[in-house]
Amino acid sequence: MAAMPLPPPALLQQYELVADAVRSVPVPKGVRLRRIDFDTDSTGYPAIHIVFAVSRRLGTSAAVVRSIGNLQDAVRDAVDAVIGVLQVERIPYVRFEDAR
Amino acid sequence: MALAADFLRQARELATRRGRPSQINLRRSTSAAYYALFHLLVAEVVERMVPARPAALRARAARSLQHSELKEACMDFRNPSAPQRLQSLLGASISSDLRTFADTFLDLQEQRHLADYETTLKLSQTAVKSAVVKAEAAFARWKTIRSTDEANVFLAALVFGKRWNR
Repeated sequence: MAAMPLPPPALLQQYELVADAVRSVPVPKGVRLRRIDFDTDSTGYPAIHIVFAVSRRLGTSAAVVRSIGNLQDAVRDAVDAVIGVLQVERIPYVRFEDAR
Repeated sequence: MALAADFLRQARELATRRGRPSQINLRRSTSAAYYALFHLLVAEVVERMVPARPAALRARAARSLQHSELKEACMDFRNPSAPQRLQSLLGASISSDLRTFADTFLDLQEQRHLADYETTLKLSQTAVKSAVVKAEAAFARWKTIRSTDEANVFLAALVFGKRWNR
């Protein structure tokens, strides 16, 4: 996994809780967590970007595509739960990049 | 809603071409998946809230809907609990179908932005196909909820939501 730059200290607890929640979700073979960024989204709203790398070797069968969608839902739900507990306003975005 | 359906069809075609699709086709597929949902909502708003005459009125009204305003409305509908200011219209909770629809819209809007502007991004065909499947599921989901009261509130919020604090 690529090194994840640490956020400012004030966000450290949020970051750790979110990272724990993300890591608690089982990841299909050929997919790995690449980074978690506390940042803004394209419109400037506070966001959490959770980025996974997907191996091309996984292929694009319906079952594989479904597993990616399920992972996205599960990670978003896990992060939403943490956001709810922390009572912070951030939109979680779960996305996938080519592993290369 | 023909335009929305055409965007959705294009998104699938570009993501599922034989062989390995080019990065530019994966980018255009992602963008088309978002615009399919955007134009689905625009068409619904215009058809239900704008009179059919004069002939050019609906097209003019459609141009006035902004991506950022649709996003802000979707943010209000992505959580299980309805925002306080909408509870007199929605009750205390929002259905999972509408929440999932709003989430898909937000997610695809962000993906569209990255696909169009983040030049170093390497898209995964698997992930783009997943995005297209999510857009298709959102279309199907919308068909099941479009006649509900909460869908009416949602559509109205796309237009008036920013002013409902007053």
